[in-house]
Amino acid sequence: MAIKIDYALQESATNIRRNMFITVAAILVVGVSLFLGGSALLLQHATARASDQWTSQVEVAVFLTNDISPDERTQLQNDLTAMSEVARVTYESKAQAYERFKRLFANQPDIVNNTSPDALPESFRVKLKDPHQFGVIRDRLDGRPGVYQIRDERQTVHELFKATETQRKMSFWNAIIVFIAATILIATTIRMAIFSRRKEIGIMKLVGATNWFVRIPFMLEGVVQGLIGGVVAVCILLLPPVRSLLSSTGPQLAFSQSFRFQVTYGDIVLYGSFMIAAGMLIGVLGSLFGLRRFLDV
Amino acid sequence: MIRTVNITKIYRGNVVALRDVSIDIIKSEFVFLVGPSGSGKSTMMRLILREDQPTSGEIYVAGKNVAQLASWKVPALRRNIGCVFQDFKLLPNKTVFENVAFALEVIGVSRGVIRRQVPEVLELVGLGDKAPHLPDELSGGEQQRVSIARAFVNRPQILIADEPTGNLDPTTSIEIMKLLDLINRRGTTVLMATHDHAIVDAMRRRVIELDKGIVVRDQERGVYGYGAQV
Ligand SMILES: Nc1ncnc2c1ncn2[C@@H]1O[C@H](COP(=O)(O)OP(=O)(O)O)[C@@H](O)[C@H]1O
Ligand SMILES: [Mg+2]
Repeated sequence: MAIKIDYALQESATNIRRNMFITVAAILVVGVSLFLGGSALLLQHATARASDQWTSQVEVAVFLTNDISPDERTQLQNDLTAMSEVARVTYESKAQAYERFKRLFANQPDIVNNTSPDALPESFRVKLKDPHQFGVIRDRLDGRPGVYQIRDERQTVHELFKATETQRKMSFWNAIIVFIAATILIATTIRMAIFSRRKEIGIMKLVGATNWFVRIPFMLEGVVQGLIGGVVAVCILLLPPVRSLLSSTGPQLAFSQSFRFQVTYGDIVLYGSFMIAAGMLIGVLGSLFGLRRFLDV
Repeated sequence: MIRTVNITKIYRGNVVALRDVSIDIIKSEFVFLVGPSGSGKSTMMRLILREDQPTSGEIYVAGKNVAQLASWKVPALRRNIGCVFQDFKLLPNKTVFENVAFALEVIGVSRGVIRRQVPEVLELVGLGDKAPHLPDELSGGEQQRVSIARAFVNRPQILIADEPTGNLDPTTSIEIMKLLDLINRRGTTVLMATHDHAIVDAMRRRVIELDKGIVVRDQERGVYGYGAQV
């Protein structure tokens, strides 16, 4: 099949110029669609990652009563460290707890002002070798003097993520629908391009052009539209306000400042390339649909 | 070169365009296909070009059974058949040169060959000086000569012309016929559909007459109507 690259490129360029308006519209819609669909998936990815990370990092918190004596506290720490299930124990004083609290609610000064530095309990942060062993630890420590409450923070994480789960499932289907809509749109622009050149195509076929020779410039046109659409989507994603908006829609953990839900640049690079690839796929599919039936000899 | 065996073409709605047509055109022949409007001439052309398929029967073009041809082989078939139409089918936004070159470009001919062959064929049809013009700057006869140049530029074995003089005045028509005759003398088989009596009578070539899809006459060195026969 003798298809000359420069011929194909030149033809698609001419097509795109001729149908400028509809082409620009298609590219923008594909871009916005890919952005909406892609960022939904991106959020899903970031959330799943955060869930894994947080679950593996959060600890069992053993809150202490106000009247615990230093001896009791040292004893408790030694006992915890000695337990075979325990990987690591760190102590958090009232002052440290208050610092963390202040940072967490930095943008809600009312809450901070109404809480005295003394109100937050001191605690041991216990990291387990196997997080599922929480029950064993709780049973062993429950009711021990000086222990106020034992809490599995992982549970809190789980509940938090469960709350956003349906939302994430929905966003997946949104992405699918958006993908289909964008494909149909590209197919429409290809149809129009073919229609505006049907005389040329008729002659091409009469003088013996192969179907692929006729098709390839149109397919290239679809792919270029999809590609630019993908780039538009990534550009939207890279806008700083958009990124922070996306980050703010994720689940937030109130009790720990080290777990800020974040859409990272790594995520954007990963899903950006995915969006561009999806854009090209949309272009290929769209142009194939647009070309269907039209070029049978 | 073109042989049909009992072809019948029935369009949707039970329109019988051709019924049991068997003709045999040998290499380098010049054949007129005549008959009133609606008698099936264009249908015949379309079947030979494989733009459509017969309802039944077989068509052999250059030895290949066109009716059975796999669709991917159709382009190769068409490269062997030049075609000319009543309405010229030129691209209005391309120059004369580009219109002719287009036929070579789309079949993947190299630039060098295009630069050599296009002026040559334009010279042949007498339009050597019109290469940079757009079709609407030319007369009807000149436009038809461009379309003949395009049909002939890759030296096809067969040239099919469907009422090529249908839009032209008698003097211009004669010019076109001289050109088709010239092409035929260079060895190309020519099949021309027409209902122009004067031309058929003047040329004295083989005439196949269709009436309501049936071959009613196939005559060497014929004239247009029965009237002339008796
Ligand atoms: N695509 C088509 N669909 C249905 N009927 C058609 C079609 N093309 C031609 N016909 C019919 O077939 C008959 C032969 O037409 P055609 O081959 O164009 O005749 P001619 O070229 O001799 O005038 C006519 O009755 C015409 O109406
Ligand atoms: Mg006709």
